[in-house]
Amino acid sequence: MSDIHTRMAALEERLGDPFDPDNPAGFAAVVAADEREDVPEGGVGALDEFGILAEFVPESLGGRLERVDHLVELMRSVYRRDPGLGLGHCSSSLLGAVNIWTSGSAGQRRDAAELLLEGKKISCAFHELAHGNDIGSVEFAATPVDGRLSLTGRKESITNLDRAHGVVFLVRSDPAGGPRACSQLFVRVADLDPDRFRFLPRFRSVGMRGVRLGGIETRDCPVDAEAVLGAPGSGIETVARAFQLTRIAMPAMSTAMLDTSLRVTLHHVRRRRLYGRDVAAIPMVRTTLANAFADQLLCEAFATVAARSLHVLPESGSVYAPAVKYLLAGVLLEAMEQLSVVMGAEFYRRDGEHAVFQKMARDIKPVGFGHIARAACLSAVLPQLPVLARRSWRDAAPAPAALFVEDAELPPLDLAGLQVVAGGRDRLAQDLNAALDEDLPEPLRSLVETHARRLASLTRACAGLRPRDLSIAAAVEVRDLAARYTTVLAAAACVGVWRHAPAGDFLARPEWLVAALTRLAGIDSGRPDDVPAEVEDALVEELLDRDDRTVSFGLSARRYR
Amino acid sequence: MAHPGSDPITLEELENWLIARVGEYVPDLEEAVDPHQELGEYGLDSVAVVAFTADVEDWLGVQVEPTAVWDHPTIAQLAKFLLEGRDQAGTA
Repeated sequence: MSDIHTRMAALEERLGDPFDPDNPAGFAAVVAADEREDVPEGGVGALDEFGILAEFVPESLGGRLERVDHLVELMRSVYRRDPGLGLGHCSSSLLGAVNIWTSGSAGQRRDAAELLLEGKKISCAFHELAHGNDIGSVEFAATPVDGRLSLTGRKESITNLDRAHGVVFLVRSDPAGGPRACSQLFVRVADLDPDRFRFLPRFRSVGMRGVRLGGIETRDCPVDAEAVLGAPGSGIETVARAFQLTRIAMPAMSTAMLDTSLRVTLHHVRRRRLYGRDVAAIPMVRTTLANAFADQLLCEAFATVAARSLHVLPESGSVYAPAVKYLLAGVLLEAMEQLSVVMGAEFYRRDGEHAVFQKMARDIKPVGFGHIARAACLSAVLPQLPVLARRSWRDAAPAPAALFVEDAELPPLDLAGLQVVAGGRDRLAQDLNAALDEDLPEPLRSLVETHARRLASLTRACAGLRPRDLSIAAAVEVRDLAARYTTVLAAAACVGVWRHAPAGDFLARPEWLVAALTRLAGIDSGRPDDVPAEVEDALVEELLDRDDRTVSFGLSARRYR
Repeated sequence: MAHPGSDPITLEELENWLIARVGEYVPDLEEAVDPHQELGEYGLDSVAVVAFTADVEDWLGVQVEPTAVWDHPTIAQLAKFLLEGRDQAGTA
């Protein structure tokens, strides 16, 4: 098919103007479907005609997946209209598929590609309610019987299980336990003996109500031994590699929910007068809008850089992925809260022209726990801190420009080449040190220095960590070091995007970066600082202009319908 | 024990270092670490294993993934594996 920019425009066109009340894939249809715990048929049809699942299939297998940053930006067109449609009809298939691309045999990869290219879903059946993020403890057992594997157990709260054609299971393949006791299996649902399994009733949810969460219970259900993905016992290792992509891509797609919420808020406040004033001109409202815009930009800057890092710095994905997931979730949830305050009573309504806001406010919630919880993200980063500090953070080598430059050529994505740990390699954080060698105007220099000092202080703090501090049961203040590191990474990403932005571009101007670095500087204290007064006008002006021109509020500033 | 650098090291020396290091991760053990007991049984959890293998890497000067502990879950198995890897790296 055509190049990514043409596809993005084509998808926007197919999905149509979301504010048009007659659009079958627009907000009115989305909200109506949500009330029925469903997704709008018009959206499903448009996405199927577009062949959305082909976007998750690598080019080498006949699909259109070339770059993770492009995949994310394209999917934002879906998420900004209906995150339930984005997850339920689209990206939930990516969760299963990345494991197959990472560890599957050539035949398994072809088989999965065939399903997705035909528009058939792949479900990712890893979760068991009793074990949460502790996936090494799954109980769903695969036992060798007569040269085949026999499945017994339950998987719960799994997207699309009862309407997927393929399923990737995470199973206990060794009753002894331990990190080598789990395997992954890729099976076609049609190959399961219907007398040996049943689907569980649907799980009901607060947000993403159109997403069908199901489950399965199997009893002595035989599957071919060849269904195992990779070597037996490699299930957790495959997760550690494959989910680096999704732990970046899924929260990155979620920034589109903030875009829509901010757009709806703008529509509300720009038309409204209270106390004889334009609501949009009330200082508290203006500041909240500027804050949310800065949050949108910083989230997308970090996520985009991390998405490119999977191509450019594949050795570091094991820290960048949980860092993105942790930081974006926190910022997006807080930004939505603040916009809710501006929306006032309109935030509470399930009808009317702004009803999609309350849906977005609910749909954003899983970004904090879905796929992997924020707490588990810190557990993934924490034990890598001392070695990152020792080996990388004192250096000041510039990070590769390809991380920051929109049209830079990227090396091909190699999921199997992603590493379980980073081995202390982090070129992004130290780019903050490198930036200080450049000419930086004030107040930017002071802000970059603030974040570079935080990296230095983090380096010292991590040198003082004792082995006993590093465990699942780490103290709150120790886990906090991991959280602080995610802030430093996000700051470095923003600085890099600014330094490499084309002259004349909004991203090359200092105002958004001043705003983003100020927001990030306050994040560790729990409540990010407001955008400084001296850049607020520039941000609000850009925001209103983008609203008038119907372009994205994110990094791409691309044309929306 | 001092960093061995590229000096030869015996299996026993390596085992003793690993035992001492594990002891620092799980300091409240009431018994000595048995080189033939799986490390997970001493409470060396998935977070600690990642930090522990980075320490081994620094000390021994060879690359060690956490999966090395997954595949060689006792001190005796791990030491043997590490020594073989180090010998190969040294003769490569």
